[in-house]
Amino acid sequence: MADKKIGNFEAIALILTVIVNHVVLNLPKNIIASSSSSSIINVLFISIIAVLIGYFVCKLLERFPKLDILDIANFLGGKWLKILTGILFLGYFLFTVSVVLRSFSEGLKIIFFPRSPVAAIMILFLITIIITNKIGFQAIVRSNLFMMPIFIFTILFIFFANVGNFTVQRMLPLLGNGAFTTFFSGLSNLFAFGGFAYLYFLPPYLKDDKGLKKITFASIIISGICLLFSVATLLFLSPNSVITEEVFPLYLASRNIEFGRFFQRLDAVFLLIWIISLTAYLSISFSFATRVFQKLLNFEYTKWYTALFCLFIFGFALIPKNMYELIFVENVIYQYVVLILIFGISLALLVFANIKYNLLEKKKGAVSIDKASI
Amino acid sequence: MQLLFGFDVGDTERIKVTFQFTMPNSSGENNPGETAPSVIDTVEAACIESAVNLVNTFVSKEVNLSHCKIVVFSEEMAKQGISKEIYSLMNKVEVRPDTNIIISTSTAEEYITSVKPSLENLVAKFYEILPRSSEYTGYTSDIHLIDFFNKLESMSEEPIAILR
Amino acid sequence: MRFIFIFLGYIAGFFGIALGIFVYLCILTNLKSFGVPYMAPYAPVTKVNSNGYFLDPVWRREKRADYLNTKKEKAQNHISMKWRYK
Repeated sequence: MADKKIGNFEAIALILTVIVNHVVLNLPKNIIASSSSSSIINVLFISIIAVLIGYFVCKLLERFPKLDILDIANFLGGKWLKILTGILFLGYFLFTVSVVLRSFSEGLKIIFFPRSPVAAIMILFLITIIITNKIGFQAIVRSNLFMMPIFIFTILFIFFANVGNFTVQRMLPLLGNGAFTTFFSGLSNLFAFGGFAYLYFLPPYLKDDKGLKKITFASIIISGICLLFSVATLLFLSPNSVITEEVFPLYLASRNIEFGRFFQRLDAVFLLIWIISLTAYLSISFSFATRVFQKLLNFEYTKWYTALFCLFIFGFALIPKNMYELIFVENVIYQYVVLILIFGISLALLVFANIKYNLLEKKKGAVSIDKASI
Repeated sequence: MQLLFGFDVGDTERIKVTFQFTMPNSSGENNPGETAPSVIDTVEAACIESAVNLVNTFVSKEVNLSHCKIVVFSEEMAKQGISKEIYSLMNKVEVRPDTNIIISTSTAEEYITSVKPSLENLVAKFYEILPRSSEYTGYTSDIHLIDFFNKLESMSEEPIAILR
Repeated sequence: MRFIFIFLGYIAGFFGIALGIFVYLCILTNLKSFGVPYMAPYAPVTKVNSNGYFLDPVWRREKRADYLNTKKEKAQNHISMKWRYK
């Protein structure tokens, strides 16, 4: 169907969305909090490991062309495993949307709307998400592709414009809190690459079947570069105890930009671009959630999904009562959810599915995975 | 449009805060010898927030701190320790991180009332250009609020400010 | 059309305008005129050379645009402005 196919660059932008939007929120702060001055080495290390994992995932997905992870779960364990995986991923998408929504709205409230309730800002976001989901999936993906170069340009711009205020010596105890913290417990910083969740669902939508490898490598490398630049900006700009207590670190870094007397307060422009990009991220996650739901239970009525999920998300987003709980949810719970679900369970599923495929091939000769019967 | 802050040791309360407001010229002509009217107010309060609240009650417009150019501390206040005021200034989103800090040998109120720039029409422009003279002299330096705050927090640097 | 943005700006300030821009962008990218997507060189990018940001100037383009799905790809000879290089 003409509705469903996505090209290569759009897929790259899709996977990039996750990390790039989390960079605005709180991601560099978490990385710097765990490995203070060795953050750059940590980020490089994590990017290399993510590239290796990406290569691994690509090889595993090669056996199953045009099947996403739900179909693979069905092949492996029947209907119940598929439903279980579906519920897990659905929960992950909804959880991500509500956490990101709440976190960004709190930040916006502090900066722009000090006297309005958080719920009002969240309702506005949710209305936009409903409208854009009614328009269609391809429109969202294309607008995302449109905003992505602008967004990356702003991150680089903040880095290069703040060069005058940098003290590079803050990088200096090079291994920071010790080699063990940097390399071993620093592995938990892999939660930054949450875009893998989209990669698992991507194969049915691709126009170009062989493009999966290019997409993975390109998106991981670009997201690594983005992460590196944003972490470097924050690390060089302020000492550690300042960064770990800020709300919106990248925005506060962008307030320092001053080119003589003419360009003085550029941070409003940045915030505009970040709002647009974040709405794109929320819409994409949301539409993936609805598609997972639709695949699990083959309902005919698709009109009610958006409103229903919006209510769920709104409810979830209002659960943390204040900023402290929100920071706990966002840093601790989200981190472990991403690590366990995306890097643990999904990789295990893929490995077992490949083993089963090999066993069946030895027995029968050729295995055909019938997609229509799923 | 609030232009600068001044902090002193207060008589009855903890600190004395001085505000200087300017109004943009509402008439169309601009006589070369005429300065924009500026209003100077002083209140005593226990912290910045309550000082801003007090001033809001008797000034007809809402005080907007985002055009604040410099912050003046008096010397005796600086000797007592200004970290609390720096923290509250940094926490406010409206105050720009590149406001300059000046420490004056007299009280802040006398300093603000006695500044009458002779080469400029607007006081705002004077305050903005003033620390930039550090680019071509050696006697001052261009210290922003964010630099001061960073050096205060980090364990390896000492904060500095301009003395007048 | 402008009134919608003014109204959004009144309701929610800067933030409302940003959301309005996003919805407008989504509607724009969904449009198709004569079978060609409306934001053609920017949004669905198929070849790296016909990207919306990095197009050659008109006198250097030798291939026809990719979103048209033409039968004949090259529109003019190689080095068509012969007088320039002589």
